[in-house]
Amino acid sequence: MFRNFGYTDAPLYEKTRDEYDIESERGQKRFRELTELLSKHLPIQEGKALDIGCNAGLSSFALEELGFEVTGIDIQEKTVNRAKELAKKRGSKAEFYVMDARNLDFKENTFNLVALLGYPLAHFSIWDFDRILQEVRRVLKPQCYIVIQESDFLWTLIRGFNQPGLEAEGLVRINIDVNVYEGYLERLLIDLEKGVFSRDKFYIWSPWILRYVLEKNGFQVEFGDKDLILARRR
Amino acid sequence: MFKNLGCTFEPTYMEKFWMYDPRTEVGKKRMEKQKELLEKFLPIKSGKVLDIGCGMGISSFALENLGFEVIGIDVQEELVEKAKEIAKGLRYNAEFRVMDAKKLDFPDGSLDLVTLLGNPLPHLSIYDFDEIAQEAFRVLKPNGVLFLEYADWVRLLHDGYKHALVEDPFLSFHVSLNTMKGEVERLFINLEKGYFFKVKINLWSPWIVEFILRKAGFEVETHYLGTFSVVTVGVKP
Repeated sequence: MFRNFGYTDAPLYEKTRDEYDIESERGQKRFRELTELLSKHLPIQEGKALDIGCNAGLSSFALEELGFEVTGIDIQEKTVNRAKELAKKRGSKAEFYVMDARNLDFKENTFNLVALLGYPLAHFSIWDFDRILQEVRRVLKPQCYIVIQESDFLWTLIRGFNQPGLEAEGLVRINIDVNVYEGYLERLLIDLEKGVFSRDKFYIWSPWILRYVLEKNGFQVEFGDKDLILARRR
Repeated sequence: MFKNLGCTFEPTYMEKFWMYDPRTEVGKKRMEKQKELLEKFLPIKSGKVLDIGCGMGISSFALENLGFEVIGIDVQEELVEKAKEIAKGLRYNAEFRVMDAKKLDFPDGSLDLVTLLGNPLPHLSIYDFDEIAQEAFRVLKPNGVLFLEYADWVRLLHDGYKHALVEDPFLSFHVSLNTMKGEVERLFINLEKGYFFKVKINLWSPWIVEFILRKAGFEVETHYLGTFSVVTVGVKP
């Protein structure tokens, strides 16, 4: 009766698409909140910014609003197309590409800011993120910044996120187990309305591990308010 | 009424001195266990070993029994002196020195094996262990091995960190988790003697250990025997 989609995040993003789309009410609200948050906390507000995991561009538009010249990348083609479409509609100059953050197609010393917004680290293993940081280091100008929005997932996990819950309306999430070899939580997602189920890997990140990996890659790290982590290329 | 000893590991060792003494029944049993573990997972059978955090020598003697030429180091001078004395009494050839594992006083490529036995990782932060792994890599010969045993704290926390542990002479339970530092704080109470203290335990789990070792240059393999006994073996290519 239920179709098995294997390992994928697609049903989750399908279901929560509104949250990432600036044309929805939810998206509008998130756009305003993010713009305010960034304008308050970013030490620079102009120059070239790379937005990694931009989805439909909400965070890229927020960065543009602040005064950055923005390039957004994401691995999902569908969302990048939507970002391009929205950019055209809004008269935005932001550029969008389908690109793997572990292999950045940009020259050295290109950007003043690299952003990973909207809690993206759960998609990356410690090895993925290490690769990404090596790439970020290469494309960032010296003394420039990476900004990461991330929560303390280990804390959440231990405080009882272990129980099943609703990830979105009609989307059930059941945590299967932790994989301590690779550091992720394996989850089962069941979309009751569509009749599909899938699994995903939710990588575990926590401040001390994040700080260590950033420092190991030559960044100076500062943990700020509202889950914002700011790290400067040494 | 109860005396507060502050933040320290000391009573957990002092009250159970016999557990770490190679001459007691428990000590002998632990030595036998470590020997079995080494026999099972060590890819080499002889050579020069550095045993980091040797304590009173249980792990060092286990290594010598397997045929290795052993140097044990520890930062606690009293334990190193004890180990020397016990070695003399039991006619072991192992040498013991006071040394910091982050600054090893050995030339590059001079050892065949470096070990961290008996679960010493709770004492080491992620930065400490990173430095030790790099030092171990430096002093090992090509094909040299780094061998460590530790507890999987992420699994432990995930599975129910709230259980109190009643383990003579202590009663202990979880107090807090500090994820900025990667530490768990636990309160220990000794009811009979009337004192209490806290310990800070650094959190470790296989993927973090493996990341550090691979970054230092090792090829790595992990054997998961249980939450309290994970063995990770690194080989210098």
